Amino acid sequence: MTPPRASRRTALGALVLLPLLTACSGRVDDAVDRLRAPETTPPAPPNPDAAAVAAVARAIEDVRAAISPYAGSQPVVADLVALHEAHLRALAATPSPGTAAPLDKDQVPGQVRARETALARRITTRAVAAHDPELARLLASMAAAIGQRTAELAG
Amino acid sequence: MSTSPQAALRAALASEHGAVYLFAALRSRTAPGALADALRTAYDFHRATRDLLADRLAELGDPAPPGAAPAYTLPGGLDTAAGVTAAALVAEQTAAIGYGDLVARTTGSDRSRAIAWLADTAVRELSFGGRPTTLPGIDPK
Repeated sequence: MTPPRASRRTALGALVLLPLLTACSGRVDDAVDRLRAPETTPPAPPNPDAAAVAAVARAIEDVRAAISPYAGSQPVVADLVALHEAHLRALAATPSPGTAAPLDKDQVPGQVRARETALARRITTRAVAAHDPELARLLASMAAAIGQRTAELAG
Repeated sequence: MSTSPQAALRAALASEHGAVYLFAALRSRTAPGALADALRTAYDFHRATRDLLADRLAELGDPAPPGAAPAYTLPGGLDTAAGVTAAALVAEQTAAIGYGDLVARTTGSDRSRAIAWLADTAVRELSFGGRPTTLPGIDPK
């Protein structure tokens, strides 16, 4: 029985191509290796704002730690402590106790105002330099929120 | 919405024209006193901001920066001090959100200025009965 014409052509083609494919198999394997998806997810590109966020979170934690013992002295100080906690959550910062540089208890309002003003200035500097526009907006807003409380503290 | 810095500056200038008009109208309805003083401060701020934005757009070579409309629709309830105060507060809260947008859409000195405007406006909100918020200038919606 004569095999169908197409089958004979296919068989002939295979005879010609098989040695070629075998000869090229090294190169094909290389190409496949290059195209193969990595077995693990490649690392995300580094966040250019990561250091800024960490620095802001640390600065907030330090001021919070310094003023927390005086939260009972004036409602606005308690409000500032709560504000800093809310801002740390907004930054998704890992909780840390912060390093408290103690305040002089005879000059609490003035010292709280000075620390908060310095903190707002630091946050503002980071907002100006932020790569992510939404981070810039968030930091600017955080600085403005501190400004609202320090205005109350002054009044 | 275009996100170019120049488009953001143009949008901010258009808003300032409206704010200047509104605060002038609010002042004209207010007797001398603490509220009138606060309105005067807000009016001066928005007028100065408007001029800075117009200058900045000119510096950028904007051939036709937005001008003021002949008139703007005023909110209702301006026949009482409470109504005037409420309108002023809404205007400042709206302006603060606008400055927040400007912060996000600009860089460098334009962003620096927008941050300062946001901070000033957030404090001025308090003179119109606003309460301190966690994130002023960020639209909660």
